[in-house]
Amino acid sequence: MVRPGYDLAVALVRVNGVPVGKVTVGVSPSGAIDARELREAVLHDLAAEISVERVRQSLLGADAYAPVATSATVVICTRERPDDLRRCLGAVTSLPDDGQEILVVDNRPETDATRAVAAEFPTVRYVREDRRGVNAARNRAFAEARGAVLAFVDDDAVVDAAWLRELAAPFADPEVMCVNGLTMPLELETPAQELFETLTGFSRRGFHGRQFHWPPQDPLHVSPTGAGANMALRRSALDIVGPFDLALGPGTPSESGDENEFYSRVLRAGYRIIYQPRAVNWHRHRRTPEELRRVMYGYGVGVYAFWTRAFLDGEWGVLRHAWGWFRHDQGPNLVRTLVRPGRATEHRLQRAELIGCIQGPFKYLKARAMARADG
Amino acid sequence: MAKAKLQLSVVIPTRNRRASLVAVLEALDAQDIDAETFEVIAVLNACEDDSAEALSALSAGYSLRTVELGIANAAVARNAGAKAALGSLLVFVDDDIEAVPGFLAAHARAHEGDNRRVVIGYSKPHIPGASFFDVQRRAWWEGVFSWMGKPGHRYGYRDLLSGNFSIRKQTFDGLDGFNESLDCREDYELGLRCLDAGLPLTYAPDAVGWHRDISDFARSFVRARREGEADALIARQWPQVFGHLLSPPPPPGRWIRLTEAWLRVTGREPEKGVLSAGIRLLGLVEQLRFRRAWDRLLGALRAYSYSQGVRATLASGPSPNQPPPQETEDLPSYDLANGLDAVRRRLDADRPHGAVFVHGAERVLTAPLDFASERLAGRHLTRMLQDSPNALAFSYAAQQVMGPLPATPSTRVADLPRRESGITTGEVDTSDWSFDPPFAELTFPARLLVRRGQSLFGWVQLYPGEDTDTCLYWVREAVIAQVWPAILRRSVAESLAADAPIAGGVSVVVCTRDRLQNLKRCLAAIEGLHDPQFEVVVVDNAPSSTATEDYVRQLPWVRYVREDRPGLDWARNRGVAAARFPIVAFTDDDTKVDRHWLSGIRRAFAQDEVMAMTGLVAPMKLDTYAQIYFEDIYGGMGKGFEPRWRRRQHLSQYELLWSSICGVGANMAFRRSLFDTLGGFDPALDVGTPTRGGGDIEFFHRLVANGHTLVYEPSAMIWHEHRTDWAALCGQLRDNGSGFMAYLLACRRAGSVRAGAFWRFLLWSWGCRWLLARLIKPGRHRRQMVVAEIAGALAGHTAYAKARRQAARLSLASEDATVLGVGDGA
Repeated sequence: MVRPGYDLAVALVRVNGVPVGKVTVGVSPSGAIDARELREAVLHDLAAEISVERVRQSLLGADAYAPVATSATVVICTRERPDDLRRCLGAVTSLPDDGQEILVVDNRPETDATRAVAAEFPTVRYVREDRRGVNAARNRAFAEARGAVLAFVDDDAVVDAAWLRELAAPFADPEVMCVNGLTMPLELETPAQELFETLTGFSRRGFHGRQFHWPPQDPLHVSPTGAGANMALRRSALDIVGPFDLALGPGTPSESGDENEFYSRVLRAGYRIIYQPRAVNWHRHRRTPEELRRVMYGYGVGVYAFWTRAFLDGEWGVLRHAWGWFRHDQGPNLVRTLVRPGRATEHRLQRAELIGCIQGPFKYLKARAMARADG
Repeated sequence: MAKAKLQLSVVIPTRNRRASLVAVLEALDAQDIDAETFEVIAVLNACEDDSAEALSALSAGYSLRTVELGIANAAVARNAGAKAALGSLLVFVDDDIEAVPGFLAAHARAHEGDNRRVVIGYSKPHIPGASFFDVQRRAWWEGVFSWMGKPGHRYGYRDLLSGNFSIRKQTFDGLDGFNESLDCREDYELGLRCLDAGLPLTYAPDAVGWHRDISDFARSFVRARREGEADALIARQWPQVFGHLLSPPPPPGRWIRLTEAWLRVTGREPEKGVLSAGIRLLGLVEQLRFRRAWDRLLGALRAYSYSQGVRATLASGPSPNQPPPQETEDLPSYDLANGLDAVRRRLDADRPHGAVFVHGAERVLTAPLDFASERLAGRHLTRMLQDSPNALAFSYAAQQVMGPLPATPSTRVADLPRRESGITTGEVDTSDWSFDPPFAELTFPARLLVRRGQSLFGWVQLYPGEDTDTCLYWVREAVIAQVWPAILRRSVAESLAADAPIAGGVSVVVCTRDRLQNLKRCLAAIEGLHDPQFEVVVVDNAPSSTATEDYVRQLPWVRYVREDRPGLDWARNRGVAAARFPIVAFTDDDTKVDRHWLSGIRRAFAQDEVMAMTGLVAPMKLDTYAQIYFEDIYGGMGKGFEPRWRRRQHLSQYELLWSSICGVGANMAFRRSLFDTLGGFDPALDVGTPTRGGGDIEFFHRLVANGHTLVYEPSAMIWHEHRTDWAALCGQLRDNGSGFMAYLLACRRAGSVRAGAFWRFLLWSWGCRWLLARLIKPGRHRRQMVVAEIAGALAGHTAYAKARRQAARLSLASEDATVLGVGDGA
C-alpha cells in the first residue's frame, strides 16, 4: 500500500540486491498496488534482464557484496542544508563498516548548523573550507582524506547499503580513475520532480555498466559517464590530471559543470571512467518549478563554462560540440515544445538552458577572476 | 655457506641505445635475489655507438657478459644470447625495460611447478608525455596487460611479448629458438610455435618492468610496414592462422589514393610522400585537438603502411594458402545441462581447438576453431559464458518452459501437406507438444497459438519450406524464433510467487438470435469446461422460430431466457437480470471458449478494485481471404498477449475515447454489482437496432469514465469465427462505422469527455487519421471496405436518433421492471 493520492509508482527492481531496472506501475485510487499488475510490469519490462542477472549470479559467480579492498573515504560536501545533511549522514553512517572514514566538508558556512549536525554523528569528521564553490570543497577533501578512494555523495541524497562496496570494487583495475553510480529519484512528489526525472533524470543512464575511455569516447562529451551526485575518485587522480577547477560548480557563478570538466581531463589523460549502476543512491530533486528552471539554467551555464575552460586549454573541438548540441538537441526541442500543446513548462526550461549556455562563457571568466581573487 | 647456484640468465639484445641500456642494467643490480643466482648477457647488435665501452665501465654485483654481433636482427641476437647462457631459465628483457626489484624473483616463481611454462611479464608503460600519441600508447599497453590478466584468459600467439618473458633454456632449445629469418614479429612467431607444441603461456603480473617506450609517428609507420612484411611471411608458413594474421589488406582510402596520384605525377615516391604528409597533417589536427579525426587519420596511415608491407612481401613470393572455412558441425559439442564443472573437466581432458556449447536443444555459444590461441580448457569456460550471458539465460528459460520433444516418426518439413488457400489455425502446448488439431491433421501454412497450459505465449506462423529438419524440431525452432520474449517472461514468472487458485461463481450469458448451428458449437465448448461453479444463460433475442428454445430446453445445465425486444443490448440486460452469480461473463454465439476461459476470468477479478474485464479473441478459422483480411489487416479482435489495466486517472481524454482498444463484446465479464451503479447496456446501441454496434465499447467507456477499473486479461481466451465472405465482412465494417459513430454520440450525450476533446477525436483522430487516411492511401486495406465503414459512419447520426426513439418506445411498452436500461425511457 502507498498513501492514497498517487497515480503511479516507480519501483527499482533488484535480483538479490543487484538493480536490474525500474518499472512504472499504476496505483489504484485507494492507494493499492496490485501484486499481479506489478509482476506483469516487471515481466514486461525486465524479464530478459532478470534472467541474465540470475544466470550471472548462479552460474558465473556473483562478485556482489565483496568488502571494499581499498580504504575509502566517504565525502559529503555541503552548504547550509542541515536537514538534508542529517538524512544523508544517517544513511552513510549505517553503511557496513569496511574501515571507511566519513568526511563532511562545510563550504563557506554562514551558521554553525552544519557543524552541529556533523557533531551528532561520532564517526564523522568535520572540515571547514572557506574558499568558494563545491570544487574547492572537493580539493580540500582530497587534502584531508586518508582513504585511497574518495566516494562523494551529495547532501540531498541517500545511499544504498551496498553503495560504497560497489563503487569501490572497480578500482581494482589501476587504469580506473573514476567510478560513477546510478542515481534514482528519492521522491517524485511534484510535477517539477517528475519533469526533472524525465528531462535530465540521472537514472536514464540505465542499468548496464559501461566503461569510458578515449578512444573512442570523446573527452568533451562526458554526460553519459555519470554525475558528481554519485561518484568515487582515486586519490592519485588529482596528482595525474590536476585539481578540480575552482571556477566551476555550485557556489560559483558557473553554477555547475564542476565534475564534467574533471572527467574530461581524466579521459584526455587516457584513463578510464566506469559507470557502475549497481552503486545506487537516491537523490531528492528540486521540488518547485522555479528551482527546476534554475537548475536547467545552471546546467546550461555549467556545460558552456566547462567548454570555455576546455577551449582555453586549446580544445577546438568544443565548437563542434556546441554546434552539434544546438543543431540536434536544443534547437529541435525548442521548436517541438513550442509547437506541441501542453509542453509550455518544458519550453520554458529549454529556453532557460539556452540562455544559460549563452551566458556560460562570461560567467566562467567571472568565476575564474573571483577564484583568483579568493586565492 | 655454499655458493648459490646460477639459475637465471637474463638476455638483453640492444642496439645503439647506450643510456637506456645502462639504466636497464643498473635496475637489474637492485634485484632482491642473490646476485650469484643470475647472470646478464647483453647482446650488442650491430652497435655503432659506445655501448660496449659503457658496459665495460659498468660495475655490477652480478656477472655481466657481452656478446657482440654484426647483424641488426633481434631474433639472431636473442638466440645468440640464449646460446651463451649458463642458467637453466632464460629471461628475455628488452633494452628499454627497467625491472623493479622483485622482477627476477617473480619470473622464477612463475615457473615453479611446471617446467614447460612460458611466462610473460608485465611491461608497465612509462610514457609521461601528454601528446595524443603518448596518451594513446600508454592506454593501449595497459589495456593489453589488463586484458591478459583477467581470469580465464585464452592466450593467443600475440600474448607472447618478447620484451619481458621467460622460458626454460631446455624448452627454448627444443623450439630451436627464434626464427632468424624474421626481423620483426619474431615473438609472435615463437608464440605460434609454443602454442603448437602445447606449451602453457602464463602472465605474471608481478614481474613488472617499466617500459620506457620511446616512439614517434615515423618510427611507428616503419614498424607497421615491417609488421606487415613479417605477418605475410608468417602467414605463408602458418596457413591455419592466416585469418588472424592477414585480414585482406584494406585498399587505401580516397584521400590517400589522390595523394599518391599527385605524388606520382610530380615525380616523388608515393609511399614516403603520403606518410610525411600524413605526419604533418596529424600534427595540425592535434594542434586543434580534433581527437576523432586524429584517431582516424592515424589508423588509416598505420593500415596503409601495414598493407604496403604485406603487399611488398606477397608480391615477391608465393601467396599463402587460405584454409577453407570450417563447418561448425565438425566441432565437438558440450552440453551445459550436465553442469559447468562436468563440462570443465571434459574440456580439460579433450583440449579442443574449438567447441560448440549447447544447453539441451539450445545452442548457447560457439567457440570457432582457433589455431592462433591455446586449446580450450576448463578455465576458459566461465569467461566465454560471461561474454554471452543472454544466450545462456535464454537457453535456461527455454529448458524451463518447454518440455522435451516427443519421439515421433521423423517427418521432414518438405513432406508436410500444404493447403490451396487460407491458413490453418490451431494451438500447440509447449509442455508436452500436443497440438490441436493433432499435428498429423495440420496442413500448412498454419498459425498456431503457443501456450503452456493457461499461459499464452503468442502466435507462431509456420510456412513449409525446403527445410530438411524433422517437423517437430522445426516447430520448436519457429516457436523460439517468434515468441522468445514470452518464453523469457514465462520462465521468470514461474520462479516468482504463483497465483493462488481463485474460486467464485460465474454466470455465462450467451445472447443468440436464429443461429442454432453456431449456438450448438458454442454450448458444446462451454459444456467441456469441467468447472465446478458456473451457470449458463442463453438469451434468445426476438427469435423468428422456436428452434433455439426447443434445442436449449433439452440441455439440463442451460437456462433459457427469452427477450422479445430486438437488440443485443436488450438481450444482455436481460441476461444480467437472470444471472445468479456475482460475476457475469458474456460471449457471442459464434465463438468457442478455451478450456481455461473461466479461470482466466476469475484471475482478472482477483483484485477487488477490478470491476470489468475483457479477454483475448482469437480467429477460429482463417480459411478465406476475407477472414485473413479482417484478422491481419483490419486488426482483428485480439488485443495482444499481455494484461493491461485501464483506470480513469491514467488516461487522457483521447485515450478514454479510444474505448475499442479495450476489447470486444464477444469476450467480456463484469461484476454484477456494476450494473446496479451504472445501469445496463444502452439499448439504443448494438446489433438488432439501427445503430448496429457500439454497445460493448460504450459500456467500457462509461465504466472507466466513472472511475472503475477494467482489465484486459489474455489468458481468458475464446475463438471467434470471422465473416467468411466479402459481402458479410463489408456489412460488418459498415456496422462498425455506424456503431462507433453512435458510440461517440452517446459519450457526448453523457458528457463524459470535454467538447473540445470530443470534436478533435471525432474529426481528426477517427475521421481523418483512421477513416479518410485509409480512403486516400489504402495500403494493404481495401478501399471498398473503407468506403463501407465511412458510409456506416455517415449514417451513424441518423441511426442513433432513430434507435433512441425506438428504445424509448420499447422501454415504455415493457412492463418488465427487472430489466435494466438507460436513456430517457428507463
